[in-house]
Amino acid sequence: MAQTALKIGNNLKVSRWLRKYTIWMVLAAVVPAVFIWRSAVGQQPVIDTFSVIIFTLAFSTPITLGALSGTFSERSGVVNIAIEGMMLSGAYFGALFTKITGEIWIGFLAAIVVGGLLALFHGALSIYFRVDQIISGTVINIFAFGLTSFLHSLTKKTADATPSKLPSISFKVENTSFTLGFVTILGIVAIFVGHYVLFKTRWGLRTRAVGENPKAADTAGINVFKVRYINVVISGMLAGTAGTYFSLQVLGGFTEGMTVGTGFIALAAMIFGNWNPLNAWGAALIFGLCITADSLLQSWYGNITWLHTITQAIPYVVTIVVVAGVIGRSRPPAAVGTPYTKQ
Amino acid sequence: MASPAVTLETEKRNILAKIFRQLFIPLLGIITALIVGAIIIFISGFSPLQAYGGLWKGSFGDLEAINGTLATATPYMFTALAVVFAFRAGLFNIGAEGQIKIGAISAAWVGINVGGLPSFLAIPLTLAGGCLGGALWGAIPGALKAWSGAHEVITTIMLNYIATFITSWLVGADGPMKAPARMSQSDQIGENARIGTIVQGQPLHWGLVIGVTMALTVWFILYKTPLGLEIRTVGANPSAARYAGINLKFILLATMAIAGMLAGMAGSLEVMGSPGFRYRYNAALGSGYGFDSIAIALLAKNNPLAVIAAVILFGALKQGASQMQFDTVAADGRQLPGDLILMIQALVILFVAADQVLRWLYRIKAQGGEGVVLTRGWGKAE
Repeated sequence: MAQTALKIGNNLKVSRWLRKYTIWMVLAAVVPAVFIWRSAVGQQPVIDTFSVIIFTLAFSTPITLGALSGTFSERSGVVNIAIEGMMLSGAYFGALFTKITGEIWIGFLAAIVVGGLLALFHGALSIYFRVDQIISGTVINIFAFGLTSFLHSLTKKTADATPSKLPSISFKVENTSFTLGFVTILGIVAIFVGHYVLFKTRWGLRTRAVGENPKAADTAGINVFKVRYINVVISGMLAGTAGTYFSLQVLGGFTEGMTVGTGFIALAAMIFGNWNPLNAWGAALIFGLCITADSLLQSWYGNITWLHTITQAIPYVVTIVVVAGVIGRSRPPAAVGTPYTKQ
Repeated sequence: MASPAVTLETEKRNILAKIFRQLFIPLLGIITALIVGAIIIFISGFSPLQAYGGLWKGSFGDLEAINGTLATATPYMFTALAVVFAFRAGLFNIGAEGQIKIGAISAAWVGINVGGLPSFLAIPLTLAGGCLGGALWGAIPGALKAWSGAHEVITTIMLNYIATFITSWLVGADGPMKAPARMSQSDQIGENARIGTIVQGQPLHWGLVIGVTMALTVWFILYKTPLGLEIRTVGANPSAARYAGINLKFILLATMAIAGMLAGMAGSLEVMGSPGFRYRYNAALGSGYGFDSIAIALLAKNNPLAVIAAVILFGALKQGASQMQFDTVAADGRQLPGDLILMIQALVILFVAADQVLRWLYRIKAQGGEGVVLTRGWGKAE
């Protein structure tokens, strides 16, 4: 009897472990699979495998930063569906300031500042005014889209093309060169720093306490409002940084609505990763991998429309399947979405 | 002791006062949004009078403009109801875009294949096809939520993208429903499956009347039927609803299916009646409806009857934008970008749906029980 119980207990533990690391196992399986497949069809396996890795890292960058942005805000108890709007504003003002000043790092800083300012507005609405956070986020999204398009037309599309792009690291594999952008590397660093901050520092503990049980945190002497404000602003700055990937890293300029819903994909990655930065990164990588599959399959096999449709749809189907089946009921921070009122 | 006549009089006054109270904040909010908009216009170097003149002219200036405004508003009537209906069960339906697209393409498929049937059969059949398509697409997130707890915000957004990919493949290059020699469009549906426009040569079609009817129907379902009570109970407190013996899974599934059906109806009617789409499915149909519809639902404060007013305001802003852009020219020949309207929309939502800010601005004391609660966090089905 006792042994059977132990066995079941162990099985449960294994399945929990499986669930926890599914994302990473899927990702780990991809690299050898691509290698074997490309060798089998007589292509360049090393180069193709590297392409998959580098493309995946690059395409997942804004999703990674966006997911981290959402994690910070939500761990402190504030829903942030305005990531998309903050990203778009970051992309626009980053390009605009780069164009005006001619200095890319000023543009980069401007993007972060604008993201932070929008987040401060979100914070004021949802923390001070206790406006419903979904309404506040929707307002910011619509406003950001309107504002960036409005200013872009008004300034005769000044931010169309920036004089330079953010730097990137190049390296060669078998005489084929690959590049990793600055924002991509920053995103990876941010994930690890974010994870450390949230789970290993006093600030992280306070953040999580405020997100789980603000009343208890308040009783313990933590300033709930301050913790929430700061985390929401951090969230906005991260989203602004994510925006620079589009305008300053990839395109070198701004086009209207250029973030095309990445902010929402990032939210999906955040939930998918269970409000944990490392797992959220894994989820973002899976999205990046699917976008990579789409573009690499096209360059390897040409544009077959039905194949294109399927590869385009895969990330979204995968998300649904994972959110529904593998991870199942995820557990968000308990106080997320509820404004705190001091008694 | 008061005489019956006096009681009646007080009653009447109370109703008037109630109506005034309910309209006061939204109207003040819209006016405030327009004032802030005017300031933005002025700072940008344009004349607010000119801009708002153009906006009015383009949206309500003459019969043609009014017709255009109502035609723009028509599909939003249904999609906003789809959001409101789901909100009432505590479900955040961002999926109107996918549901309208799937509904429209299903209706187009039925409409193309109903050749030979008389109109009185072909029209309901096509509409039913679209409704079924939308309902099935809407039921997916409902079922996922009910049986696995997958959060509908994620699943509906994902299903929007999937719907876009599927439909644009169907009518894209090599797509099975592509019209010969025409990209991103299906064939025209049969003459017998089309519904007419209200005024000859104008875009407004009879879908508007159906839309108003649906607003009343949704209101009736929500507030006058047992199903509506169950839906609202689930929305107010899922755990209590379960404890009271309500079948939570069924309610979640049914709510999302009905919401999807409403959006699907919008898509069908656009294919069947809108001269703009020339009785075809076009890949442009329904794009952006997901978030616009949420905006309208917020503006209507989640009230199915207020949706009617909110969509007309939204339709007017959308319709009047191009006239405003055309009419408002600065001294140096620049035109006022029409994207200003988006900012005004955002401000209207801010001041109307989140009236705390407005009350703070004008130092109005809060009246009890008027706030909207939409967010209860993620993934908490119960």
